[in-house]
Amino acid sequence: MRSHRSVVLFATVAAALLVTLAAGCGSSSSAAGGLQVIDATVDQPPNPQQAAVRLVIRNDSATADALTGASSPLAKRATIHRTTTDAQGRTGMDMLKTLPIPAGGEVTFDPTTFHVMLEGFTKAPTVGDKIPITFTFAKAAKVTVQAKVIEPGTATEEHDMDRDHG
Amino acid sequence: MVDPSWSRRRFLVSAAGTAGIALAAPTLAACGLQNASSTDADVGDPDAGWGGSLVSPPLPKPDVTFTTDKGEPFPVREATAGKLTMLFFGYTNCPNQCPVYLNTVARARAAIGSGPGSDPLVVFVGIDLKRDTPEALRTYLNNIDPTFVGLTGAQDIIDKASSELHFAPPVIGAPDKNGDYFVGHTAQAVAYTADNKGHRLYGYDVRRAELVHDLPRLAKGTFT
Repeated sequence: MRSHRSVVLFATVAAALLVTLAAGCGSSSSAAGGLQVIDATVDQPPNPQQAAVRLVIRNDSATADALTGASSPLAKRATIHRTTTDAQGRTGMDMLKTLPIPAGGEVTFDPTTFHVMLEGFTKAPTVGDKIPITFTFAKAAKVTVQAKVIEPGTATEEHDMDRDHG
Repeated sequence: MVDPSWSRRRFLVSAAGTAGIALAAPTLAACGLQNASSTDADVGDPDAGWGGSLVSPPLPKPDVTFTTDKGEPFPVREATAGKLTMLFFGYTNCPNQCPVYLNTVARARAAIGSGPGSDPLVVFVGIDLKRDTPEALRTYLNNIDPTFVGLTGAQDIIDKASSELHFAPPVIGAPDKNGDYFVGHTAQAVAYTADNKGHRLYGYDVRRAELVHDLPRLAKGTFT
């Protein structure tokens, strides 16, 4: 019996450790009162003056919150944009002052949904660079993450690999 | 027996075409990520096993002359005659859709390596006349693939080309206090085969694997 309980305990600790390790696997992850900003990446941009950030904001708390701003010491401006498609099929962008993050939910920022737009870089972002970005929320404390500049295309091609192998 | 998805898509595309309204709304849905999941593997589906979506009847090449980023005239029909050509309207301050699409084509080319489909003529029309200078276009494209051709033209030329493709004309928003403004554009690439007809449309979020698969076949004149 005793040994059985030890196995269970070991498994629990191992699982907890795995979760911790998995959280550490992302390019960046930071928590503030249940809010996490995960996997912030920037494709190396063709226009050296601006870039879009992909990320996921996860709200593990039971309280709804909202993203109200972003900033980076390496860019003059950081704004929250939503990708839009109008009635005539044109793709465009809207600037958002606030973006709700539901309780127990997550919001994915990718080219089809939202992005943090960085403009006016002190230095053109290149693969391997890390761009610190601070996110401000209506309720939770600020979160700062290091967005990794990556080879364009690699963010989506990982999914292709999944699909090819799946 | 007529496959329902075939007739539906055909209807949507041709109805949009003849009515002169944008075909992008229905086709965007067909071109996007959903297409990759291939839920429509029915027999007779023209898009089964392909990325993007079939355009029927095919799109013409715009009968206009743009200017290259080197300042040379680019009469679209003559300059692209008989070549596998990917035509896309974008702008150099486009942070997402344009680089995602252009990088995907560049990486597909690299993956194909050599032979059919490895050297499509990729033309990018800058629609933001104020910011898409020849220099800005060249820098933007050189940072992705130096073989890509940057084009510009006066507003009426861009609008005429858009209209011939049944694309809604691009819209330029009002500048904010920093002088920045948003641009709306049809973020789809027309793929022209050697018969000079645009048989397939690809959304900006086409996957590299789809182009690696499609470009060699398009280069051989196959599109279904």
